[in-house]
Amino acid sequence: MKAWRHYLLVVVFFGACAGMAVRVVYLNVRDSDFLQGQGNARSIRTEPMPAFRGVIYDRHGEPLAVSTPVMSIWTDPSFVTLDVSAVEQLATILKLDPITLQMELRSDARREFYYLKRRATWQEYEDVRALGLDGVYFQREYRRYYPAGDTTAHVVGLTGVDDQGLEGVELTFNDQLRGQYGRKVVLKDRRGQIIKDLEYLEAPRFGKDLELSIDLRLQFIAHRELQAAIAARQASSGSIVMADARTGEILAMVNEPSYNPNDFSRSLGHGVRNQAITDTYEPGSTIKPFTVLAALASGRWEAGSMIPTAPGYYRVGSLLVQDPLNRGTISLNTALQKSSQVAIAKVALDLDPRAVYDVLTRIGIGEYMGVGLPGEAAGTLNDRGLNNPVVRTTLAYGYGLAISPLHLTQGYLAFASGGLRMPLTILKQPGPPRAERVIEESLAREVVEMMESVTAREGTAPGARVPGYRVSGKTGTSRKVGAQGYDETRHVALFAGLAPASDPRFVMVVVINEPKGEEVGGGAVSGPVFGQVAGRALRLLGVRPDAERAI
Amino acid sequence: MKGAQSWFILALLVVVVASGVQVALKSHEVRRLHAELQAAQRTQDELLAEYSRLLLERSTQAAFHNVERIAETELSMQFPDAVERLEP
Amino acid sequence: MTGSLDRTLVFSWLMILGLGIVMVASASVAISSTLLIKHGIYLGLALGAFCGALVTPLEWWRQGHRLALVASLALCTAVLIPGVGVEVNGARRWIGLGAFSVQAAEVCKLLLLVYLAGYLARFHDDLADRPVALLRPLAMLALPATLLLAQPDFGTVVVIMTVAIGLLFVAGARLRHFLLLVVLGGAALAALAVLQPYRMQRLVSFLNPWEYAFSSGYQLTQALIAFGRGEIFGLGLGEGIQKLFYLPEAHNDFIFAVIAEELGLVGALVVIALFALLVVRILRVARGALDAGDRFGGYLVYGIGLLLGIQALVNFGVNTGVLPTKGLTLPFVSYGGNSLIVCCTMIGLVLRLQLEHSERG
Repeated sequence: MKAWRHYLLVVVFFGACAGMAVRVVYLNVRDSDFLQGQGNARSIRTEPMPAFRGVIYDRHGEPLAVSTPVMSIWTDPSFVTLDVSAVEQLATILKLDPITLQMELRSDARREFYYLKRRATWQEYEDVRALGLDGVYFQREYRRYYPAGDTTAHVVGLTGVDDQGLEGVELTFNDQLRGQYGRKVVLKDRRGQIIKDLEYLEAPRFGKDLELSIDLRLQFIAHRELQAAIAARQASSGSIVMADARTGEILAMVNEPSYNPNDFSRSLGHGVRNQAITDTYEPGSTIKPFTVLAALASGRWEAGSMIPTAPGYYRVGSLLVQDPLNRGTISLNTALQKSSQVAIAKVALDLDPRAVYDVLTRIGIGEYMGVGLPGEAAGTLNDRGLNNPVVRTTLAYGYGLAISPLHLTQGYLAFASGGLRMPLTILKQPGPPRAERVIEESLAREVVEMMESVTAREGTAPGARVPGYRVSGKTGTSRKVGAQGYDETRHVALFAGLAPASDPRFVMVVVINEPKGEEVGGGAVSGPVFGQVAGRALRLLGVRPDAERAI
Repeated sequence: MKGAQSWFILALLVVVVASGVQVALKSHEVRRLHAELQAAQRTQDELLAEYSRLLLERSTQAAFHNVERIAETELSMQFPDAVERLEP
Repeated sequence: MTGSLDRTLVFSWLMILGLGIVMVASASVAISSTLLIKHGIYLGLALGAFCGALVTPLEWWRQGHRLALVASLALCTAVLIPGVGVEVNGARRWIGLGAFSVQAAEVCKLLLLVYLAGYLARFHDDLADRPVALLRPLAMLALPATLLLAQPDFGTVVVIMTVAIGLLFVAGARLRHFLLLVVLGGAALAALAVLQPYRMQRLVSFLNPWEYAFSSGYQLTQALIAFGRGEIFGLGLGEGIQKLFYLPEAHNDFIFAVIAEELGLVGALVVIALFALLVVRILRVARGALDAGDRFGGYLVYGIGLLLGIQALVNFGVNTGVLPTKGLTLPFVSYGGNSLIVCCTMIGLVLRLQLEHSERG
């Protein structure tokens, strides 16, 4: 053969190969960006990485706030038309009116997105999915449930639509509880399987669980009794705070009015305030035990020291101190038991000008406490005018200062713990509290014993008694300040106490605001609430009865 | 063709091909395991959701009110008076 | 005995074959793990056929070259008979034989090459003088070609006809006769494309695949994306994405795209270079035989070289979107099947020819 034919063939073949090579260079290098863009559009997706908000538990592990996925069910009327029977089935499951639904779907036929039901329950979702309807879609969302509802509403609080805490511990511990979806860019094969995680846009953030010091059972009991009392007394509001005498952990904190945090339609505002910590009152006679304590601590007074109160009133400067009746000469103990204004005023004036004030500040009354709930009031207690006997006298029986039920709880905690000051906390504490001695133990015990007489038959609050147990406490009734000074018709009924007196397990403060009717005093209105709640609480906590066998 | 050298190259070729095949298979294995991991994470997510629902259900069933109501109405239980209580 | 073989030819062939194994492993693993094993079995059969061809004297083939035409006709007819031929995706291409199946077109390629070589060896002297001698073999080829078109298998017909025309050129056809043939062939192709509308459809989608990216242009766009992803050095062996159900036939007709994706521009150029090297070495062997006066062997191996080269080029062209989509494999690289066996047999024939000449020399 002729050589040129062979070489022509080889050259043509090489030429074709070179052409192919050039084409590959074009594709792999020059068109690379365009082609990769096309490829990525088909294979790269952004995927959510689910993470939800932490659970809030009570001290025994009962859930108080739980985020759970719910499904919003929607359809695309512009794309699918659901037939009549399908709409009827849907309406039955989702508890909607079939005719209205049918009409809405028809009239909105051009819309691309129609919610059949937002945040349907899981059961509804599963039932609808079981129908296997084409054109019905599901969208996952999280909803926060509060199983204890209004009972724990003020403590737990609630979250807003964006899953951020708005109230209560949901707000104060939002950073800890918060869960946040992550996002990642992934490579998927054509069947939708993720082959590779390309990039993490945002790491998912799992909310941490929170364990509160609250005991849900006590919370329930306290709330029920408070509701009952407020209804019976036609009172405007009320609070109960209960704390562990040994650790300072808050076991219960309830208010009325309350609200249902599970109800989305509710307009925010009414009943949202956690009055136990945000509202301050003049504590009235509940301050007297601290005056007695100051007296005992001075060494000049003993429980049995006699004080003349005749004729039942006593003038201090411009102030007329009055008892309801002339009690004659009574002991310091009886003065506390009967809540004698005259006796306490005389004791207070005998003491160092700062004595009562110092006791109150030492145990933490009138300070910001940082219990872990939003909106905590600091209260007002200052040492201005202590040189004035009038100021000293009113302070001794609980006027001229404004404190919250929480402060009062802190104060009585000092008695119950045998003279210790420890922080009140809303979170369950892993170990023993940071306690600081603020009262000599023997003095604290002595005041507790003296306060026990308050719940005796002759005391001001026999209703606070619990059969089988020894209960100590002190009543208080203060008038509210109106537009023209003290309002004689609006009262605050208080009872602060602890049980059992021999070895206190808890302190409790009951405040009932503006009770109506014949009896408006702390002993009559709040005392029995204390007794009811304390009775149930002592049994639930398994506390051994410490009283002489009841006859 | 020099025999020994050719056989040596041939042997190298076989080894290269074998390791190449292994590389290809293993990289697919990685992807398969990754898909498995994704599936496991999805399951975990579903189980967490299920757990939260069960938690809610238990808390509803075991609510204090509920237990008390059942104890008092269905089981006819009642709190003893102080007098009836036995001291251990 | 091995001393006389062309080491460059053998190693370029073995490297292509080895690359084929690796790439089939990579491209098929996501689809089914058994495909690689099947590929291994086919490879075993192919090496067996290779050895068979190596030890069979070429004289045996020369004497049977007329029979080869008859056999190819028989195969192409049989495949069209329902019950014998198996229909896959609307095309009858396979004859089922139990676990094994024969792809008629692949076997026909070899048989028709043998026939052509035999014909050209016999009528070598007439070719330059009598134009009719040019047309006769083409006329004979028209029969099996028509049957192949009935399958339908347009791609194989184009390849065989191109090889035939190339062989006539090598055999010394006059340049004007030859050019006339090329024009006629081109016209026939165009006519076929227009007569059968689905080909027109393919043609259009190949010219502008992105417009039909989700219908007829789907496969091509996915192949092009594979090239784009590969850039210079590729995503890495086994790291390709397109093979994950995006690119159909990734382990078969479109394996070149997978190579370009995983091994990049470098890998693709190496494959092209290896084929260029292999084909040129084969043609060199053929030329040596013709110079030594062995017409049958020379034309046969020329045909083999042209066939392998053209099929590789068409496959590259289809993968890169320069040629319309055809069901043509990349020799030695694509997943198993009859193609692998037939192509390896061809290499056996090439080496047999070289062997016979070195023995004589």
